[in-house]
Order: sequence, then structure tokens, then C-alpha cells
Amino acid sequence: MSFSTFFGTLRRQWFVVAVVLLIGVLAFILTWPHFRKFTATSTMLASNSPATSSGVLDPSRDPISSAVGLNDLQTLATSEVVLNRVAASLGFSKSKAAALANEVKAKAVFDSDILPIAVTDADPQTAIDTANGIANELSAYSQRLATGRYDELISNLNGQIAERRKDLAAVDKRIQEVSSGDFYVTPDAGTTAVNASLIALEQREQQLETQVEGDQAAAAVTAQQPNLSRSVARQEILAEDPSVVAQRAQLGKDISAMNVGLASYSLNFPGLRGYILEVRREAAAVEAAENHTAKDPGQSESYVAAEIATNKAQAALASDSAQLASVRDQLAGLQTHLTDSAVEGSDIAQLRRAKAAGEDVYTDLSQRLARAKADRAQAGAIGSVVVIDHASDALPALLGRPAVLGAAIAAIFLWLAISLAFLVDGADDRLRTAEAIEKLYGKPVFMPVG
Amino acid sequence: MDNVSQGFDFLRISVEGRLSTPAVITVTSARSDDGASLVASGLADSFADAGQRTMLVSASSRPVGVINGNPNLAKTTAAKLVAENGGTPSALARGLQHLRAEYAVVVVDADALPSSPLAYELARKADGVVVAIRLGRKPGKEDRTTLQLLQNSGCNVLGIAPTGAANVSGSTKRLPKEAENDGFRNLALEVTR
Repeated sequence: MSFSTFFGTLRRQWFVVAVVLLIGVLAFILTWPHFRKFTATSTMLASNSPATSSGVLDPSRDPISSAVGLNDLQTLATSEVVLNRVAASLGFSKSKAAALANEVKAKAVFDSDILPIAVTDADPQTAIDTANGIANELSAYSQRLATGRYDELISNLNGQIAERRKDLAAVDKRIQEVSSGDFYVTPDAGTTAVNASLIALEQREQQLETQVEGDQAAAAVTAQQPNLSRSVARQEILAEDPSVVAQRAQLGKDISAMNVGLASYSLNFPGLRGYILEVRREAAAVEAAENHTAKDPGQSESYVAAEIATNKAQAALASDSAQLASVRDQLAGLQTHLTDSAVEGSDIAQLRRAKAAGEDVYTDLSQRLARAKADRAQAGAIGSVVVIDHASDALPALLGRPAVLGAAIAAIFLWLAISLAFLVDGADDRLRTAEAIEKLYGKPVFMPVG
Repeated sequence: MDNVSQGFDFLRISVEGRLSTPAVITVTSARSDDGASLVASGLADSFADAGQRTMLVSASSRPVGVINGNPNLAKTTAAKLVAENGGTPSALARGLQHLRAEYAVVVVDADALPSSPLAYELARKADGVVVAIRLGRKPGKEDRTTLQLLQNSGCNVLGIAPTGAANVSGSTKRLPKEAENDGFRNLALEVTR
């Protein structure tokens, strides 16, 4: 296309060009207030972390690494979750808050961990405040996210620990209920006390049985002593009685005289038989006197001593037998208790096992809770997303400069005007040029005239 | 010298390049408003201005354009020409013969060809035909019909003269600066001759 054709077309479509350029002027006048904007930039540094990592909320993850990747930060910078907080803190209206996302640009510098946050606004101070607000909120949000994952875990662990504590309390209560009022079933020793008592009683029983056997033997022996000492006691009593002693002496003499008579005489010796009868009567009388005198063996010290010994042995036997009977009663009672409490003992064993298992889990949960709290403290203390440079001034945006905006609009509308002019011209099939006529009819065309 | 006159001068120069004098040039068109009369009168005036004895024959129902008082330019009508030559069917041809003998250039202003047998006849009898087409109008079937008729009848179509350039935005070409130079103009005329 030659210049002449080009400008010829523009001249033919001058009206179109003029209208479009006029619209361009109006566009400049109308859009200038909107383009008169300032840009403030805050710069952040993020410890890079793969955004695609599935372990963002993994509690076992290294707490030093950022909870939010750099790519996520770029998105978060324009997200409602961040901008709404910033808008609220700066007291923005609803409409301004809604439009805030369009005024924020966050794009990492090449592949570095530096993230500039640029905010454009008609008011330079607002641009500065907003840029700084977003940077601060992003940093705080990242930290909340970093600690939040542990908060969730800690809350969960606390809940589990509370549940376990409740379970353990229930087990303790059950054990208390089962063991209450039972001397031998204590919360911590159970039926061991019963067994210990049984063993002790059985030992005591054996001792007592032995003792009773001894007592019985002793009683049997001592029981014979009074009878055995009765003759001794008779002699002691008779020896102590002078009448008897005198009668015995007389009888002795008489017997001696009789024996002499018998030895010297036959029975036919007169008087001998009578004498014999007399001695016999005297012997009977002495015997009767002796029997009468020795009728009460209690007069003998030996007999009394034997009786006392017998009584002592019997008393000891009776006492030990009574103790043995008592021990046997106690043993029988404990055996019955053991038999009766077999089911309860089983329950308690089960409860104790449940309690032990619960305590193990409780301990494990407590350890995990301690670790989680330590990790949370570490993650909270280390700022993985930090503001390294706060915005301090706002520069006019590129299109906020009238010359640039004017040039841009002029270029756009000039291009539009030319395009539209050629479009309109192309759509016009009227014969307007000599070239068009020559092309259409294939004949030489002279220079236009008239 | 205005652009209009210069345009006709260039048209004349172009025509002179295609014809040798004496010559009969019929200016016709496809439509009645294409400006054939303007071209005929302007061309005749230019020839006259160039010092050639010129006759402008009006065979059109349209009024002939204003002709200045150039001594080299005369005008007549086709009806008068026929009448002066006996009024017979061959009177027109004889009249043109006479004019060719008397004038260096005879320019005939004819009606629109598709609707005028006279125009067709004048074209056939001419040494060359110039077809006027008005710029700014849409091309039509009559344009092709006109050119087809001229071609079929063996007419020497010198070319198409676009008219109404002043009324078509951006279509009026400025003349080359050299053409505005009188020396160049005279040289062109001499070469043409």
C-alpha cells in the first residue's frame, strides 16, 4: 500500500477518523481520574516451601519451614481472607474493599524467594498503608497457619486426653465400687490380702494342731497322775494320822504275836484260834480305820499336786482346742469369701487391665501433646514469612502520568481510527479512485477530472 | 491554473498520446449523470487552449458546459450537423468528415451509450472514445454493457475518464509538481504533437 492510498483512504474516511479521535479525547478526559494512581510496594521474603506438598498440615513436618509456599503467597495476597482483614483495619468502605483485589499485584521476582507486593491507589498514603497492611497480614497469616496446624493437633490431643481421663476415672470408680466395704479387696492389692490371711491362718492352724496334740498327750499323762499318786497319798495320809499309826503298830504287834503263836503252837492251842480271829478283826478294824482316814485323798499334797497338774493340762488342751476351732472357723470363712468373690475378683482384674492400658495410652498422648506444644512454640517463634521492606513512598503509576496515558490513548484510538477507516472504506464498494475503476473494468483510466 | 484545468490538460495529453490529429473523439458514458458533457467540454477546451482548432459537437440532451471565449474552440450540435449535411441517415457521417477536414480535433459530447443509439453511432464513427464514469457512485451493470458494446463494435476505447473527483473525498489527486511547471507542460504538448 502506497502512502497516497493510505492517506487517500484516511481522507475519504476523515469523518470516521475524526469521530474516533474525538472519542479518544473524551476517553482521556473521562479516564484520567481513574488512571491518576500511585503505586506503593512492600517486599516480603518467604522461606520457600513446595506449594504442592501434601504435608502442609502434617504435624510431623519441620516446623521451621514455611506453612505457605511462595506461589501460595502470591495468591493469598489478593485473596479475601487477607484483603478483608486489611480493609477492615484500614476502615475501607465495602466497595473499596471489594475492589481492593484488583489494585494489588504480587509476583515473585524471577525464581527468588522475594515477593514484592504492589498496591495502586489514587491516594499515595492509602497505597502505602495498604501495601504495608497486606505484607503484615500475610506474615501474620502465615504464622497463624504455621501454628494453626499445631493448634488443631493440640486441641485434638487435648480432647483425646480428656476422653482417656474420663475413661480412667470411670474405671477407678468401678474398682472403688467393687472393692468398697471389702477388707480383703483393696483398690491396689485386691485378693492378695485374703490369700495372705489364709496362709497365716493355715500356719496358725498347724501350730495349734500340734499344740493341741501336745496338750492332749500331756493331759493324758497328767490325767493318770492322781490315780498313780493315790496309794502314795493313802500312805501319806495314814502316816500322818497318829490313830492309824497306833492301830497299825498294835496290829503289827498282834500279828507278830499271832505269828509267834502259830509258829509255836498248833491251831488246837487253846486260844489260838480265837486269837487269830481277834487279829483278823483287828486287821479289819485297822483297814476300816485306814480306809476311813484315807477316804479323802485331797489330804495328800502329792495327790493335790497331781490333780492340779491334770487340771492344768486339761485347761491348756481346752484353750488350744478352742483356738484351733476359732482358726478353723476363720479359715472356713475366708475360703467361703474367696469362693464368693471369685466373680468380683475377675471383674477387678479386667478393670485393672483396662486401667493399665488406659494409662499407657494416656501417657503416650501426653508425650505427643508435649511434642506438639514444643513444635508449635518453635513454629511460632520462627517467622518463615517476613516483611523485609515496608513501603515508605508511592510512585505515580505508569498510566498515572498524563503524558503516558495521553500517548497510550492516542496510540490506541489512532490505531482504532485507522483500522475503522480502512474497514469502512473496504466495505464501501463505490467507485472512488481511478485505480478501482481500472481494476474493475480492465481499461486504461485517465486522471480524474471535474 | 486550477486543478480542474490541469486535470483536463492531462486528459488531453493522454488522449493525444493515443491519437493523431485530425481526430474525432466521442465522449460517452454508461449513465446520464456520469459527466460525459463535462469531460467533452473540458477536453475540447484543453485542446483549444493547446492551440488546436477544436470543434465541440453536442449530441447530448444535456447542456454543454461553459466554454470560455477561446478562438480555437467552436461548437455545434449533432442535430445541426445532420441538418447541414442533408438530413439523411448518412448526414452525420458526412458532417463528421467535414469537421475532421476543417478542425484538428472534433470532440463529440454523446448521451449515455446504453440508452442512446445516436451515441452508439457517434462512437462507432469516432477515431477514439472516452468513457466518463462518475466517481462516488456504485458500479453497475450498465458500465459493463457500455464497455462491451464499444468493444464488440470495434470502437477504439481510449480510456475511462473519472469525473466528479472534487465531490469524492480524497479522490482528487494533486498534480505532480512537475506538471505545475509550465515548461514541463509545454514540453509535454510538443511531445504529444
